[in-house]
Order: sequence, then C-alpha cells, then structure tokens
Amino acid sequence: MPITEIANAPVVEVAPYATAEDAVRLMAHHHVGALVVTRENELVGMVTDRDITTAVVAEGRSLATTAVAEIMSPEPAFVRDHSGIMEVIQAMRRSKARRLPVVDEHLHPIAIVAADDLLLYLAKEIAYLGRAFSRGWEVERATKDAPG
Amino acid sequence: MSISSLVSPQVVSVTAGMSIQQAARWMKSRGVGCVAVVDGEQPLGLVTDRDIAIACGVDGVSPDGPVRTLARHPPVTVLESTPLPDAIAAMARAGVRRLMVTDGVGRIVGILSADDLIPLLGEELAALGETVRFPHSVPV
Repeated sequence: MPITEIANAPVVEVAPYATAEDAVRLMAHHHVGALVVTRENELVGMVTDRDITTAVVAEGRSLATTAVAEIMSPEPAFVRDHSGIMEVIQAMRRSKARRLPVVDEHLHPIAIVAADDLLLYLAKEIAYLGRAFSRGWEVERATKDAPG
Repeated sequence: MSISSLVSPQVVSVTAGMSIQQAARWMKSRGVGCVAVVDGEQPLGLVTDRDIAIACGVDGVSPDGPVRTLARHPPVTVLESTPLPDAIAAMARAGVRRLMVTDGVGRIVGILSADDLIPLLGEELAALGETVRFPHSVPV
C-alpha cells in the first residue's frame, strides 16, 4: 500500500517570503495544520499552526510582517511516495514529527502524511478483521445449525 | 475500566483573565498544544494552539485580548468515573481529541487526550498479537 493512498490531507504550498498571516489563512481555508514551504517547486521547509502560535503570537511579533522563512522548520524530514507504512512510522519517530511531506523523485511535495491518517487506516484494518472473526462464527452457526 | 487512571493530572490551566499572548507563551514554555481556561476551579473550556493561530491570523483577534474569549463553550467534560469507551464516544460525538475531566462537583481534575490512549490501545493490541501468534502455548 503506497503511502500516497493513505495520506488524506491536501498538500498546500506556501512560499518562504509569504507572511505568517498568509500562511494561517491558507491553513484555515484548506483545513490543514501544516503547509509545505517550497522554493522553485522544491521542498525547503514546513510551517504549522503551532509555529504561528509559539513563534509569532507568543513572542509578540506581527503576523502581517513575519515571513514564513523566519518561523518554518527548515530542511524537514520527508518520505518518498513509494514508502510503506512502517517506513513512515519510523521516519516520524526519528524526526519526532506527526506530519511528514511525501515527495516524488524531484523532491517535489505531492502529499502530507499525518499520524492521524495512519491511525485511521490501521483502525479500519482492525475493524475489518473484527468483522471477519464475527462473520466466521455466524457462518459456522448457520451451516451447523441448518436443518437436514 | 474508568478513565481515572488515564487522566493526565498535570493540567496546564490558565486563568480567564490571562491574555491570548500569555496563554501562547504558556503553551510554548510547557511544550503543550492545549490549555484549560479556568475561572477559579470551574472549567470554561479548552484552547488549542490552532485556535490561537486562527483567531489572531484569520479572525483579527488581538493577542492582547482575554484568552477566555477563545475557550470553546460549553466545555466538553466527562466525570472521572466515566468508562473509557464512553469517553472515547464523547470525543467522537463532539469531534474533539481532548476532554476536560471533572470530579463530582464540577472541578477540573485533568485532561484526557486521545494521544494518551493510542499507546495504551497499541500495547493491548501488541499483547493480543503475541497471544494469537502462539495459540497452542496459551493455557486455556
């Protein structure tokens, strides 16, 4: 299962020279908590809603004049589009990040995978497994108890 | 299993009169993404780092304004005696990943976070995995 099929959040890009206000407006509009920062289509950073709060609001800086480049996490960890679930979980553990950009061979971000996406995927698998177990007992009852 | 043993007792709470900027500083210095806004011992609601970012960046709220204006009303609370499945159901109903946990007289005793439940459920699932991997060695 390629990770791009599990990643639910849209990838939203922002330029490093955009303002913190531009960034948070994009986050609100697209209902995402993180943006990928790109320069000439290449991944150069990540900026999150938490960065806005802790690096701008908490520090008394202006959202209208603070540039994304000043508050982003530069050179973020990323995974490739063909990465598997375990590989992504290990990359999240190593980088202590709950969201990772997924990039193609040109380092262009094509998705963001969040820990939430992985949890939903695994929960669905377990739910299907639970249904399979319960259905197995139903089938046995129906065949063994059937008259004749 | 009730949630009492799972509740994080280290509630990071801020008073209703504190400013949004001060609350943001608290979140930063304590490394948390959510604080409980309280009036005395009464919980008013939770405020997350995202709430602050959107309020100040999109809604034009001044960081000097009181943080109580961002607390989500009514607060989503459960009693500490609530069974775990009921607490998870309450999170799902309200679409939140953190619940304020109160005692019998409405005082806040902690926060139950979905993040704290995932390792617990993971451990239980891993233990189950070990059990079904060697079914014949398990005493009946």
